[in-house]
Amino acid sequence: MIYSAEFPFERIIFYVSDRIDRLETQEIASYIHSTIKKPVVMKEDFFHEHRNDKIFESIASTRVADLNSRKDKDPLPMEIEIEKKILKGKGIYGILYDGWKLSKNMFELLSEEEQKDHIIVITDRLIGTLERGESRYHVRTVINSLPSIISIPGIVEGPAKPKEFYLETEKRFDFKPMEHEDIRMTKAVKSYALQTIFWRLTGDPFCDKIGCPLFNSHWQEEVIKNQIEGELCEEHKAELKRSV
Amino acid sequence: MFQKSSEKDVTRTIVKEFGRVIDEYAESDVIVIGGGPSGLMAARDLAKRDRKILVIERNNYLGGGFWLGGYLMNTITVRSPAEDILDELGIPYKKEGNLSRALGPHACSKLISEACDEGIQILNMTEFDDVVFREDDRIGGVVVNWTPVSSLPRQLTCVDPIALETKIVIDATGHDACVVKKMEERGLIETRGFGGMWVEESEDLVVEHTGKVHDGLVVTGMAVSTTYGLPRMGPTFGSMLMSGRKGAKVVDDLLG
Repeated sequence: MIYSAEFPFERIIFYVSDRIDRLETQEIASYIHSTIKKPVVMKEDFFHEHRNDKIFESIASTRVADLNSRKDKDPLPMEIEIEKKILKGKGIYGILYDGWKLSKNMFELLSEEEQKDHIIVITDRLIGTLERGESRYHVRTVINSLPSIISIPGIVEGPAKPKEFYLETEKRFDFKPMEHEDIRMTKAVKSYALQTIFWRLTGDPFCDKIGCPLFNSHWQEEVIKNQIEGELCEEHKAELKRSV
Repeated sequence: MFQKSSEKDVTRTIVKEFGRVIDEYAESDVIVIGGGPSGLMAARDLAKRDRKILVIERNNYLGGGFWLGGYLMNTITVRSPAEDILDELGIPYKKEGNLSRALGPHACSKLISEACDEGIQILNMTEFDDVVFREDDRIGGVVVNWTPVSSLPRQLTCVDPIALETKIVIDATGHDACVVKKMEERGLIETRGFGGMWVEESEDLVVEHTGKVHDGLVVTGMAVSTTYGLPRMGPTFGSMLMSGRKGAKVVDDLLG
């Protein structure tokens, strides 16, 4: 990516999967618009909007076949059939998609005009990446790329819960981890959307200050503290003021 | 008490009937490889639709893992709504919330009995060896041999197999996915291998992915898990029965 002194995009476009419930999309649009001062457009499922003959095969080819390696495999017939069903509205869980491959395949579907925008795809698919130095795929909340992807199940399943959560079911914590169809998901999406925007603006989506929504949370407790309850730190507010 | 019948009569009866079965089933509508719960369920449903079905089972007994519910304990479980199939097969069960439990031997024998009543034919102690190919790599049959042949010392194993023709093969060989693996050896399919245990997701995924993987080849049961790299489900059988049922439907549609 080429960084320039000019603001790198004119519009922010959200694509939101219609299979996601309990997400206040207008609230997200208003928040991002008032923060970034750029037009925000809300659209439906990315793959509905960019549908073509090869789309099912293209999505199926990003399924993670082996958690321990990043191999490319041609999708099998039922994998393609299942993508057709998912796009018809059938929810399906337990499939992990490679976030980088998914974003790359999405990019190829963008028009030249759209490539100038900042695209954020909010998906109900579970996404993961296998980064250099890692021995296996890890579930991710967000992929900072063009387009960027925010995974709703990733926000629940990605950041780890405390060990005691798995061992002592009765133990009470002073925070409530994110759950599927969590009412706080709108707030979390706002924060992760800001991360993608800062990545696009500065190349760095993260902040090391606790309480800033740009904090790179690895634990659920951190998600609650930063992405749900946090406010942009003074440094990033100033950064935004300069850019906008 | 018993009426007269000599040794030669017994031998001739066995040989004659076995010969008739091989002769008649050298060509069939569907060959099901593996007589576990998904294979038997698929075979039973297809036979019910008057399809000519041959089940190949490498063990002496049919039923696969359906006799036991895990860790050698013989209570089997299915998650709702699979108890509908237990009802249909006449298997007694007790419902506990979303889970139903039944006695493994009772459930398994009822399933075998139902499949036999519908008219399936069985070759047990018979092992899948290879596939028969037709034009464009379509599968047109299977090559089989006696199970003991594979355990014989090498110098004694020059025992040629035989081939059986069919319109569709169902791979219901469990985690081994023998037919799919054979296709993989030939570079025609690339399997994913199966993942860790995750009961709640795995059962739905196995049924979802049940279907055609190659021309002339449908995959059911845990072979689906190996083919697509899905999580394992552990000792619960609802999806095996429902995968078998879906496989039968897919095959029936393919046969037209």
